[in-house]
Amino acid sequence: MRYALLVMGAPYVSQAPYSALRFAHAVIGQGYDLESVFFYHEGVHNASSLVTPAQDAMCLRSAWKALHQQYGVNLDVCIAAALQRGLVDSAEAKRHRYSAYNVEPPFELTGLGQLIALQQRCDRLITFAP
Amino acid sequence: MLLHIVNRAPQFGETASQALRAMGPEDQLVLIEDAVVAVLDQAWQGWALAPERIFVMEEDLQARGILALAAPQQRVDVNTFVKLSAKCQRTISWH
Repeated sequence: MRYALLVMGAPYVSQAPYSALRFAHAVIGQGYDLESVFFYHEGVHNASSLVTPAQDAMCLRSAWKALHQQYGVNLDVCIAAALQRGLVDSAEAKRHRYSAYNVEPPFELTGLGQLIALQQRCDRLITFAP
Repeated sequence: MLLHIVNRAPQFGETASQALRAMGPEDQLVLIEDAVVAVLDQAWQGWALAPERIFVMEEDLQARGILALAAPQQRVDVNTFVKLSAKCQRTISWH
C-alpha cells in the first residue's frame, strides 16, 4: 500500500507536523511505501533552512531530511504557499533577485498539480492540519 | 468504510460533532491531538452514539496526562492508527 501525507501546520506552532512525522515512521515500520510528504499552507515552514530550534528542542527539519535520506520519501513543498511566506529556493531567489534563499534539497518546491497526482497515485493521502 | 480523523476537542467547537454527523454506519473515528480531551467529557454524544467505533490516540492522551481516563479498548497507538487507515477505504481529516 502506498501512502502520502499532507502537512498543513508549522513547526513549534501546531502539533500537525509532529503527528505526521510519528505517522510517517509507523507507516514505514509496517512495511508500507511512503511516497511523499507534501507541505502546504503553514506547513511550508517545515522546509526552512533558517528555523533554529532551542538546543534542547527537536529539529523537525532534520527529522524530515532523515526520512528522505533513510527511506527515499519525497519532501514536496507547495511553491505558491512557500513564496507567499518568504520561503524560496536558489532558483526562485535568482529569478526574483533576492540575496538569499532558505529552501534546499531534499525539500523541493513544486506545484499543486503534484498534490493532485499524489492523491491519484497513492492509496492513502492522510491530512495533518492545525 | 471511512476513517474520520478529528483533532479538535468537542468541548471547544463544532468540529467533532460535525464529524460524528457525517459518520456512516460502518465508519470509524479517531481522536488525535487536542481532540483526546474528549475523554474528560463523558456526556459527549459520540460516546453514546458509536462507542465501539471511536478511538483515542494513546500518545496524545499520555502527553496530556490523561491516559488513565480512557478505557483500554478505546485507546489506539500510532501503529493501530496506521492499520485503521489501511483498513478503511479513505480517510477524512476534520480540523
